[in-house]
Amino acid sequence: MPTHPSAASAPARWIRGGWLLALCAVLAPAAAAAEWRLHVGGFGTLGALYHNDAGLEYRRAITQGGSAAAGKLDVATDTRAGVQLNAAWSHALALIAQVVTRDDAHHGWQPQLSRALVHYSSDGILSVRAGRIGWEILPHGDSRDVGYAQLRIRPETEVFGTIPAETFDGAEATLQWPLPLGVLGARVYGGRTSDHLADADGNVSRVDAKLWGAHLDYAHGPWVLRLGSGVFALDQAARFDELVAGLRQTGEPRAQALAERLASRERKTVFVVLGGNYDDGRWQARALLARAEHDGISAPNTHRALLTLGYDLGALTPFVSLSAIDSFDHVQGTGLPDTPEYTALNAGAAAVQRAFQQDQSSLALGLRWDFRPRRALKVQADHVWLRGSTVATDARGTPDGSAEMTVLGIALDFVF
Amino acid sequence: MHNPLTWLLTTLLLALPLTRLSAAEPAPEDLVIVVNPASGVSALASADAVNIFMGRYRRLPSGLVAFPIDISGGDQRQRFYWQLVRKNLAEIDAYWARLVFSGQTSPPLQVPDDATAVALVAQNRAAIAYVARSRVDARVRIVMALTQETP
Repeated sequence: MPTHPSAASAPARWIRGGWLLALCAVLAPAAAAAEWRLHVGGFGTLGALYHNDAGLEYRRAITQGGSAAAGKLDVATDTRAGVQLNAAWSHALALIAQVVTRDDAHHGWQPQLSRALVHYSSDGILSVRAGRIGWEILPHGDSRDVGYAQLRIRPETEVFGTIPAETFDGAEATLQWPLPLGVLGARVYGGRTSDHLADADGNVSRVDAKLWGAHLDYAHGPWVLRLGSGVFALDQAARFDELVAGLRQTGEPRAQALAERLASRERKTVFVVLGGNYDDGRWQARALLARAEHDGISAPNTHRALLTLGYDLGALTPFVSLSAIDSFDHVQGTGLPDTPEYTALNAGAAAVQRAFQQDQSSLALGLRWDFRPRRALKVQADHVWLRGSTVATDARGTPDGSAEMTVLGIALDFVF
Repeated sequence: MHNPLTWLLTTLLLALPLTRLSAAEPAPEDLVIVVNPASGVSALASADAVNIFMGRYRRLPSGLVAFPIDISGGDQRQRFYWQLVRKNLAEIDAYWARLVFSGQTSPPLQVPDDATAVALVAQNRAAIAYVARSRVDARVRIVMALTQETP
């Protein structure tokens, strides 16, 4: 696992979010005499999953340090809980703070400040949020911990579990216009993020980045469509100093070009996303296509896609879901001959490129049972195809191999 | 592992037909959407009601920022959302869970009964609520009637 040089102290995210809580603390007494409405809510999932595919381990996201080993009942992957405090004033101003605990990158359960924001909208047309906000680069990507809000047990791993950040500290503005047919919304946002990612071996790296973007939403009847784009600018990509120096020294133009793509400096990934929801009567459908293009090698160039269909039978909703991530940037050669002098460089360059490729798809079948208000029990079976190395689930260390696994899951979701 | 899963799936499948059974009940009362007479709204399109109660665009046609109200008691909320967007309450609650816990917006204010909703609408120029037609009085104005349809 490469290391990221911008390591900082562990509680940095708490400190960064702390000023917002301090703001809340200052504002709240000042307006105590006004029409403040306080509400405490929460959500949680008790989940268990099982698979029996020896040599493979299953994770739901690259931000998760633990993984489900073959032949063992795993209760950490999908289990999580969150508490949220809302303080709303006159329908225009709201202060929100949320803490979530789950199996994190360090394979621990330390509570994280996942939201700390001020939301202001005076006229119903323009709304502004500032603070720690969920990064919704993909539609519904800002509620992936809230199992009750999802039809599935977990958001599509290939699509959502491979996004390198879940929140950012910054601001966003949303404008909404009513049209003769529907409502058009436009959102712009920007800020900074720092998160921890774990590889399949449990190595943890810190990712500090700027991010910004915009998207358009169009809602009409049962349809909600999304077109968006965003940039994730990593402060400093993973370091491969020896490999980069070696490639540069060869004098071979292709090797030198590869060295520049591997060099550790700010690297940008540009996302383009097209998504849609259809929700009418008993049918609900969700589809998404996304392209991510990286200007280096420390993140993959990928296509993501998903299609999820559910049919409401009353309390029961069976669903089927297809999702995939595919690296479209193949391993580039160095242009160096395969002689003993260059064997290590060629092998190193190929291994590094393969390490960042993600090729995985899955088919999920499941059933959601809303057996009580605000309680849902779900069962889900995922069949996962792995081709080569993937950040999400392949722990076998066989980057050229391919494998399949079947994962059975059950989860109890609740909100209050 | 197989036995508990088999048991669970069997239970779910057996429960399926039970969820469709319902005893014969008297027809529920018509629901209507009401606003304050000073709101400047005389009629509401179905699309406007969807936008307001689902948090998509919270403005009344007159330009006021809408203040939607839900009835938490009885089966009125379930009937309302089924008639408005053909969604059951579990789907509505899941929809709001996503928006609330991502910090995007808040759901309609919940009050226990029609009388409280009518009183709030009468007091607030921008309030909007759904109530049984028989509970409407001169303090509020009917702007939309929902069609009788139950899940």
